[in-house]
Amino acid sequence: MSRVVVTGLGVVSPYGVGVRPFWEGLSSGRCAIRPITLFETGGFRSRIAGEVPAPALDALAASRRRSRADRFGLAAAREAVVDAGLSRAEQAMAGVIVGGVGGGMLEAETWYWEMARSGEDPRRRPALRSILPSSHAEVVAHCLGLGGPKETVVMACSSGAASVALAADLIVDGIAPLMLAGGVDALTRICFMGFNALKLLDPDPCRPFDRDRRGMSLGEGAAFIVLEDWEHARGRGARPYAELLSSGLSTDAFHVTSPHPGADGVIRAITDSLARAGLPAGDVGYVNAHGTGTAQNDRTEALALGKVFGTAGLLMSANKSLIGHAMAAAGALEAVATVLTLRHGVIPPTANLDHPDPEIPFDCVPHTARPASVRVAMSNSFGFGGQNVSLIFRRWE
Amino acid sequence: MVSSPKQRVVLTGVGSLSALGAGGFTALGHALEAARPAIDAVRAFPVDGFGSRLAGEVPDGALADLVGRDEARRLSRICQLTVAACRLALRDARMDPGVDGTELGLIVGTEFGDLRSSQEFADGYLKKGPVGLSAMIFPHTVMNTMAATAAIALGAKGPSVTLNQATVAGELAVAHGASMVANARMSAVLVGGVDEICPILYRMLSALGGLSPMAGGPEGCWPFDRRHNGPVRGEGATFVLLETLEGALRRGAAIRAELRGAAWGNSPVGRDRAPRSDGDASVITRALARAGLAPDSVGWAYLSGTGDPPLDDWQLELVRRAFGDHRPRLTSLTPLAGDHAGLGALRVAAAAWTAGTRHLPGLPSLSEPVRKDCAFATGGGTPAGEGAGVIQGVARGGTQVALVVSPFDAESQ
Repeated sequence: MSRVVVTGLGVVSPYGVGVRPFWEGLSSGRCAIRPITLFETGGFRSRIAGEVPAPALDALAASRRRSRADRFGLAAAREAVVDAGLSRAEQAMAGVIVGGVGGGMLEAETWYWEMARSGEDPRRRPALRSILPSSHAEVVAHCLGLGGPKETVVMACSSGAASVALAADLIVDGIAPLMLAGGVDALTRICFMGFNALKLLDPDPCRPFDRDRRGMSLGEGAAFIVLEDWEHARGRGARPYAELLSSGLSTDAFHVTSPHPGADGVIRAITDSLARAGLPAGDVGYVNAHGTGTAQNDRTEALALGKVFGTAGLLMSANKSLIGHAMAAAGALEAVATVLTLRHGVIPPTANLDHPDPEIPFDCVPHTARPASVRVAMSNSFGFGGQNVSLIFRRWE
Repeated sequence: MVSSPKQRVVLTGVGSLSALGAGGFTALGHALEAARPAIDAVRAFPVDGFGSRLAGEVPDGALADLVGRDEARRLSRICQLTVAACRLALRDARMDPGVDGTELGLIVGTEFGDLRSSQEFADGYLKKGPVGLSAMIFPHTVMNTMAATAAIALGAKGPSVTLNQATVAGELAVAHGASMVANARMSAVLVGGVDEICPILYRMLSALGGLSPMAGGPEGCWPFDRRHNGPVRGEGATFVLLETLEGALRRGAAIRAELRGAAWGNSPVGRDRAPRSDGDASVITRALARAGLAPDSVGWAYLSGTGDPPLDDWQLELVRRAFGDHRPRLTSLTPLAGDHAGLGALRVAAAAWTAGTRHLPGLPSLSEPVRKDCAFATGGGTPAGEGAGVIQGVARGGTQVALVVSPFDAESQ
């Protein structure tokens, strides 16, 4: 059986462009959720999000003619490939799987809004294929010369994590020795309005696991990791960040927007990933939680973790309290954060957690990062439709 | 370090709704035997002022007996198509996911998802402001809504994955699902694709030159013919049930065909371009190698053949390079049903039918092939001859998928 290792990382986040600002932001516990500047938010309950700052976007080398999301994706993918030290020949054999949801919808909305209001078809029409989530994989593969399998996975909020899981499977199955896996999403009006309509957004920066939590905060960004067969990585002298031990994918088959009340699907994703890794639950020292800050989601995740791990000794935190929920990018950003947690021996905190919910009796690392020598960590992502993904990483030693 | 596939993968059920009609394996066989093109003028909405007017639409009323009244009220049309096709496939395979359902996965390929719901959701806001937004419609704006609603309707609790891809989303779903079963991650997976025609999509595709007649002339679907000038859009959902040979035999399922090999890759070019002759020609070869078959053992091939000239040209070049002097008989289903993500699994289901009947539907209006060094199935169809079949799909942007199907040989267990 192949061992799959992580040999490169790349990020665009509300902290800016690059893995370094991402980790510095997370580990400092600085919340990057601010008023939205991208579009009008008047009349909505929540008007904030984790937005990628304009100066960071301006600094991206990617063409301004591309969609905002494509520019995020390309910048993060480039960083990951450079970080992994891949040659052009190695890139030519690499595949890519991208988790996407919104695609270039932000630009399509601008066009459609204008057309609906003026009654005329604006001359600047976005390219149809740039609207679709698959645009990110197309752009990344073309610009980086990736000649292996190219896929776009849409699993709502678990898309980014699913891309990592599916890419690892392709390596284990011998279909590709090297994969770029990640997630990309930019804020869109439809997403912002939809979660407002569902009354799932907190007017203030979200507070996962807090007694007084009132919903999530949106975010945006992109993250990629280079996954590689260990023998292949060793052959080219790469030094892994971590090993991806396993993944678990499951479906609630219960409700389109609500999680299963007994956390059935989430428990199966977690236990499947443990079984595939051949690990007892007690070996997992830290969980990078899905942790959206909605009443139901946090309760369900805590229920599942309690049933699998018990409540004693497990550390858990929610990156979304710092950068918001970046939708399709979230699972990939959190996978990168989990790898960096193992690498640096520091757990990024859960921000805004002033009054821990007694129904969530875990140590959720409130406010301040904590040094902890964790050997095995899990990253959880759950999407609309009850589409659940758990990833297990091990520190590289 | 490469793990060998652990399981043989067989196809045991088909569910399809397309312009050719609705039904399972037998109904599809009747439609393929008739090989009657179902492309006609768009009925669902006016196309006055558009550059195109043809499509392959799902017949009116096809959904009526396949989704319940409550589902018809709650679910968008594309979700109804998905649920109905998945149900037909399970019924065809005589499989009940049962109370557990954890061993049934679902992979849905789509090119455009539920664009109709996205437009409806946005229009609510544009007409009435925030109070016009529907919390019911919003989840359908995310492309995984078809997989989510189908998993709920079927009780499928294994992975449910949506793959977004131009032209070959269905083939990609089949390839990925086959890999999942072959490597013992799931014992059974429903795989396929779905797309629907809606006014905004048709209007955009037409305005952006994505449909026939791309460069003027008469409108029509003529893959591999000198008249080819763009795809004609189709719609529908087709799913096939793939399962381990062991599982299929254990439950006494009728095995329609064996999926022997799959490979997929990319020739990196711009998103809207088709590679020229320098594109990766090894995908078919790799699929055959996985199947343990030589190129000359392939008797026939279902190609994506959309009628998009650069894609048609690239596809035939790849086929010629993979097979050399050997000339399998080539066909495409787009002239019958129009191009859509459901067509990938429809091609796989059709290949299973051809593997069993040795009949290959033809290209109904091929009069002047773009290449003389390829053998095409023409007219109503031709005998397929002995041997395995290949399904090959190519897309702008450089994605290609190859699948190898053969009759199930009970002797070789």
